[in-house]
Amino acid sequence: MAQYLLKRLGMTVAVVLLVTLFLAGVVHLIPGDPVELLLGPRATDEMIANAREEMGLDDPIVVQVASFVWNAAQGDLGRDFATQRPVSMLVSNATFHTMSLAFLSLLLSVGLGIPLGVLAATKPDSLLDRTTSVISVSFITMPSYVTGLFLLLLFPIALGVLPATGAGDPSEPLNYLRHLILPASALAITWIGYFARLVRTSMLEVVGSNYIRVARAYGLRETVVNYRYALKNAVIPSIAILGVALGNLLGGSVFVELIFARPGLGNLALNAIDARNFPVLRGSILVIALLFVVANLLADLSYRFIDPRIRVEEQQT
Amino acid sequence: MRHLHGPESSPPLRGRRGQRTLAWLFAGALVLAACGVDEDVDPAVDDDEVVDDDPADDPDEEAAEAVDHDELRIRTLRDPTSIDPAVMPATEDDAIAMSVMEGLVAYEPGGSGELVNVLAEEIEESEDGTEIHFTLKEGIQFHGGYGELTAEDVKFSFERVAGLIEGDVESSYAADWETLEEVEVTGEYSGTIHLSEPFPPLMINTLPGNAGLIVSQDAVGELGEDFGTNPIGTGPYEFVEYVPDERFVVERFDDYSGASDYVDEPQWERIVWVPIQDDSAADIAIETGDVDFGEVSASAVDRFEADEDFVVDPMATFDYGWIGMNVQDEALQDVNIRRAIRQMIDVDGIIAAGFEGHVERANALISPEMPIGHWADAPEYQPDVEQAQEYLDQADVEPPEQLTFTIDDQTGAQEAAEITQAGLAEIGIDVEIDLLDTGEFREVARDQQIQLFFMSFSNTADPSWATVWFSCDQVGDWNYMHWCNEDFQELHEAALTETDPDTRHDMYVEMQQIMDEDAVAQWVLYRTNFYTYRTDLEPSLVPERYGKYLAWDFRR
Repeated sequence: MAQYLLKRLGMTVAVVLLVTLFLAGVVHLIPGDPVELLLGPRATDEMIANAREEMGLDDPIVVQVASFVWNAAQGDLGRDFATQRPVSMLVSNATFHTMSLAFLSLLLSVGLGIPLGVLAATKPDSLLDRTTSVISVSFITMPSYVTGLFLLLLFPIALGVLPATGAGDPSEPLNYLRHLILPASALAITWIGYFARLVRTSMLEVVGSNYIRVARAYGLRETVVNYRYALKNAVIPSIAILGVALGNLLGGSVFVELIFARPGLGNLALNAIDARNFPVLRGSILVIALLFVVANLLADLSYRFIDPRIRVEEQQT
Repeated sequence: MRHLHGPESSPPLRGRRGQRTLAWLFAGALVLAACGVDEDVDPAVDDDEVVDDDPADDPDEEAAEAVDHDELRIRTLRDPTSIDPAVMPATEDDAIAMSVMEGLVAYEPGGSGELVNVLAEEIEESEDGTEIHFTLKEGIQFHGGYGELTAEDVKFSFERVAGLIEGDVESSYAADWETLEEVEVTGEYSGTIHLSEPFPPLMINTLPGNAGLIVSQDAVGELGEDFGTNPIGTGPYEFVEYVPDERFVVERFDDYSGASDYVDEPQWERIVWVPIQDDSAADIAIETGDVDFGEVSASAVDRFEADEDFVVDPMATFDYGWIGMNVQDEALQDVNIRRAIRQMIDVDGIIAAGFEGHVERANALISPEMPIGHWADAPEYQPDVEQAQEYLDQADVEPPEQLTFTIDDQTGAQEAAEITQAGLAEIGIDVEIDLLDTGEFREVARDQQIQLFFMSFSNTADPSWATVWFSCDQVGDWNYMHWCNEDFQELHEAALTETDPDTRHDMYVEMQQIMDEDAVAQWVLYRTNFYTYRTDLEPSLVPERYGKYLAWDFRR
């Protein structure tokens, strides 16, 4: 196990390093001069030249990227071109908002998707199964930005409940949570449908197994059979895709943050691209890559932890 | 208090754990929604109803009313990254500066163009226009305990923006103080501004604008680069908090001198600027009361106008939008080709399609709102195939078979390109549309890799800030038409120091006639800001400033 963990951690570091190197280099291919965009039309050539030198933009791209990676390894992500604030501060603020959004979305996806899947699998081909299937497939086909707009029209505008924009105040948890509900729901809806379909399929495979028939023969209640015995095995494929889901939710947060005017990594990266604010863009990319890779690592590890067959197979070999 | 259905009124449950989980999750969300309704002002509640009801009957309503009047929330289009008057990258950041800092003089709200004294007790211009003597009001305090305002601060502030202080900030607004030699301090509260030549924009644009705002010399020295996000001035509101991409907060300044006595005392405890980049999100934020005031998109104007709870206040600005032609491009060097193209651009169609008909058509560069320089008799070009064909026949070269129309993602650009494409197809010119982001557009436009384009620029109350971008000095920079006309250049330079307003007016009209003769552009619109707010709010607009509104003078 320790050897496996070490191997996976090594691969994680390598992937983060490669992704960061690649993306930090790619941002320089976007045409547009950050200094001109920053200083505006009234800046003189001399001002532009001075600013370029101060920002280190005269250095070759390779030097800029290498210097970023070296400094990042020491915890220094540089300074924002526009405000001169440390990028690490901007990124950590934004990461908090994005992670809150992604985690609540994941919670909603799992919390609603799995019961929906189990419900459908308990009575295959019944009206209940068909109804949940229609709901699940509809959810899968709904893009988060469309759902977001519908939710905005329904809750804050038509019903006058829940805030429409902003992130709220993190020091007031209830207020912060209220600001999270709509964006998290918009982001979660696709994955609710996806988890429901996945769990339904796995459940149908599992309920035909001998051990489930034995459980039923013992006269156990249907809920106990479904949730305590069948779901335990049926949920394993869903856990395997949790990492992918979290990564996808992080990516999808860009649209949702824009629609709900929420601060976050997506908004930060988008604004940084507009302004060619390279340090902020590189910092955001690094954190997004890091989150994605770590989420996948955790999913892999939890998969091994939950499914004892993998550990047994490993011991046998 | 508004009651929402809790779990007790949910449909009966039948003992299935999955159903119970679902129900509890939904119920939790609804309870959260219900718990929070009273924390913020409920936008669905008519404000008149709140006033009519006795707040004592319901303490929550009383609290909601108090919050309502304590805080003013305003949408900004982008994150305010610097409020330093010498740096200020976005013109709308000026609106924040107008609450935190003051100048010697200011424009009265309402668009009258009248100047009033603010920090200046007296201000007087010499007859030859090269000296401005000022005396400050006494006892005016800077925020943050930075002491009393003196003439030394005025000297520092003006010379700093003019770029005369070595080693200080790289000022983006040095041209606003084009002919400043020095500011002489003649006493603790008095001084003289010395100019090398008369500079008419000084009293129109510089002193009442952001370049005339007074900052604390000590604060700038102490805060350095952080001054932009921690501005210190003498205004009625002081800086409290800046959270990037979230909010910029100012609070009422307890030791405010009352220098801006041309308007009533401020009403708000706090003013919060909230950056909302996406237009749809901003429309919703205004509709739901998440923000009290802000610009809405042209496409939302009709909807808000039809809603009796809202007011849409269209404010004509000096900003202008146009379709330009790169005259250095081989295909567009012949003036008759350009005239033919101009003739086939359907401006009214662009305004209808791209701006829902909610902006004013432009026929020349300088807007009718500008105190001087508007060319009232400018020709209004309408699509005319015969006339366009005639121009093509007169051209010395064959008309181009294909042109590229480059646009960025600004409002109306796509429609401008498509309507031009349709118009030019009628005279046999095929137009390809190239959509770029703002940074990339700037690069290709500057480097002459552009033929036709749509662009809009912002402007202040002096016409020189419109003509400067089309001067020869700006070729290869902001003059995207890459057009250099010596007569135009001479007139632009002469008008900068001409003190007689009538003569200046004639000079700017002549400049626009030269542009028209050379057919370098088809003017499209003068931009209108659609400020939208609930009926119980009374805003205070200052069209002469970049900031456009005086937030702390808003009333409810």
